[in-house]
Amino acid sequence: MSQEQIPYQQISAFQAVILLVHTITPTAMLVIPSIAIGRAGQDAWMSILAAWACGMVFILMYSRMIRDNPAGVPFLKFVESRLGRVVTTIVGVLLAHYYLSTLSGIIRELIEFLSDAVLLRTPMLVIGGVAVGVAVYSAIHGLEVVARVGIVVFGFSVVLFFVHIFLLVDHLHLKYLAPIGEASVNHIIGGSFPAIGWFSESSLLLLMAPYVSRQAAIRTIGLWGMSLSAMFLLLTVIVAILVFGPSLPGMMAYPTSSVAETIDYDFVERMDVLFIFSWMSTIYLKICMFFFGTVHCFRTVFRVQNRKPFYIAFGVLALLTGLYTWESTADLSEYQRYAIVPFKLSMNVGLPFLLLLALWITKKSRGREVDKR
Amino acid sequence: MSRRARALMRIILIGLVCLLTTGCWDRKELNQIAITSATAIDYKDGQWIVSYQVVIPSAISAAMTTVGGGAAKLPVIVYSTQGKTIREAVWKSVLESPRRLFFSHTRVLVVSAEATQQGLTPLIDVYLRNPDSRETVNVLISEGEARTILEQLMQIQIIPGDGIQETMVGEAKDLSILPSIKMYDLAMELLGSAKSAVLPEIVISGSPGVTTAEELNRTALSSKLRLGRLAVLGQDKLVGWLSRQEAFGVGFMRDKVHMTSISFACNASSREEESAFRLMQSKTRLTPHKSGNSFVMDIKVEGEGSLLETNCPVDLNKPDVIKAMEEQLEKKIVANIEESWLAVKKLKTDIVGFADRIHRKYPKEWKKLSENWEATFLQIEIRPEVDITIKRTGLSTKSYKLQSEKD
Repeated sequence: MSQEQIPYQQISAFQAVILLVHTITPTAMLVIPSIAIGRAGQDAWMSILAAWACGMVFILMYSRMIRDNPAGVPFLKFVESRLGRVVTTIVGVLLAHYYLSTLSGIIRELIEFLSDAVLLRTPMLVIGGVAVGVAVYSAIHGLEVVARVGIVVFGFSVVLFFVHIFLLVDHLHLKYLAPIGEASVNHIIGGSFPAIGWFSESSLLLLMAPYVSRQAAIRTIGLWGMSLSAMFLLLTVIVAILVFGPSLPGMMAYPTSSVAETIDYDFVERMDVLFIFSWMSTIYLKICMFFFGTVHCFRTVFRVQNRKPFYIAFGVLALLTGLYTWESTADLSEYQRYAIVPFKLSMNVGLPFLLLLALWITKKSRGREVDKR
Repeated sequence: MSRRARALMRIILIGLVCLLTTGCWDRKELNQIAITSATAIDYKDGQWIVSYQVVIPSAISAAMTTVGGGAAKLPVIVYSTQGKTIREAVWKSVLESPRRLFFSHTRVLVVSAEATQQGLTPLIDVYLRNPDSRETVNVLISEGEARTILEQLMQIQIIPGDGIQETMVGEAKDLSILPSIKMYDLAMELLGSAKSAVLPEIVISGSPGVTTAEELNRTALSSKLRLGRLAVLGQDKLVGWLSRQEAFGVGFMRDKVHMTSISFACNASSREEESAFRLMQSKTRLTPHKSGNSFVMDIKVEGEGSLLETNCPVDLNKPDVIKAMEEQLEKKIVANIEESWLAVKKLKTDIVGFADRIHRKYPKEWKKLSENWEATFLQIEIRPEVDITIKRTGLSTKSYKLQSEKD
């Protein structure tokens, strides 16, 4: 049976948790430490904890919406059944636009990092093209295949992550975390905004939920996925502070990679290469997940049967958008620091919240109608 | 097309894609790069002069095989370029070198004292910004021209850059008089609360310099590379020097003493230092206390190690004797810290980490103190307290001198 004939590929609860982690962490680990430490200094870890608390609330909101859809109907179809075609079309188009825009941002982040750190002379089109090609190929095979790859990637990236921390033991200075609480509440909140924005990417759970074999465990899956993502980000931020102190990471473009560079023993050095290898594997999965989100919303709204050509079309579109939207690194950095968080929050939190409200109102009015009858 | 043919086509296609996407644009052929083992930075007439110690791979393999066999080819060449900015100078190297400079294997960076007067910020920026310049490079300072350090050859280590780095790391680990400072350490220290840092000095001791194969082919060299004093930097510029003796006390205050050897007198009345102690482990705790408008800094040093040598007529089986030796050691370290503290105060630069410590303990007061830290720093009173334990006394229980006096 071809993939087109399978309405829902099933993924296990564990696979769903891992996919959620891959949806949030790859770019978060690269972008957030610099911004959060730059704003909150040595108290940036508090910013991440605050963001984690917000992320948990987001998950509770998403799981509340999913609870009303016990049949496992795709999210937009469920919205259509409750709020009608017009609302669904608007929501679907907005979400498809959000996923495509974010996808192009992720592709550009990948290109920027590789161009800055390793492939200085390789054209951006080639770096992005290869990444998009690989991601399209994986995404076409469906969520279940991506989830299986995700488990393998998660396994070795976690091992490398902890080996890297272990090798840094000599470079970690606890004193850099003091004085605790020196940053003002405003700075800590300011430092938490990017992480809140990134944690809101867990809204992909709404689209992923119908594919999960254990519908009843969606909330647990979300909470675990969010907590694991927060843990990796928290460790990354703390390690960056413990190695470089509170001032230096704020001026570094990629403190996470620079931390790996400091590992320099007689028997091992250049661990940044392993970091880049592990990170690239995870970002491919993130790209796959955002491909899934884009195509899923698009085909549900426009009732498209054959999805494969759209993966290729959206791949080309996202690549070109990623390449040409931001003229320079400074433009991308400004977008990441100021525009991306409100955009993410409006699409991942604002929109679902309005939908939740609308679903709640329609549920109430339906209940009243039933009572009247 | 049969299934097998399709599979074959796919394999060929994948192979082709792999070949076409191997990072062709960023490939680095070994015969097209000039691997630099050390870099030196000088500043003259408004221009940065960057010198490179470039490894000659063919000469290294020859040197490995022709030990003692006539005048071998030299393993490195040194050349310089200059420009208004450091990177402009680096890129000008293509005007005179057929190979592109490759900095990933650079082990040491030597900066001249004159160049530090221009401020080290441009240099740090270069290292943090460019992926080919690694921030794990060891930074040293030379009082004279930095290029001459790169021209000096070493006997035991074929590549002098490697030799300097290994000497530096070995010294910091085994003697701990001078610290091993990497580029990111320097960047962090200059961004720290005190905005100051230290750098070890590298000098050519003796003359003339050993720069040719003939001069190298001797059992005793006319000159050699040696670690010297400790340079003190304030706000990224050189403000003065500390002797090795003073640097040693600074090392204790900065908690950078890993292992070291200390000579000490037999007793308080003796002026001759006739015993040696190997400090195997040391930990310093700085605890600031407010005292009126100023601060008192408790410096608590705890260390342990073993006795290496003694010419005192003592029986080392007696705990009282060991206790007396420990007291001698403690007094010596306290005196050393106090001497270093006076030297540091003279330079009016907080390289001992007091600002960081006070900032951490009194974060609210720090905001006010940081406005005029120098004045507060100079008023600080130190209270050093040293606790040394002689854990082992070696394979002899009594000193040979005691035994010979008895006999």
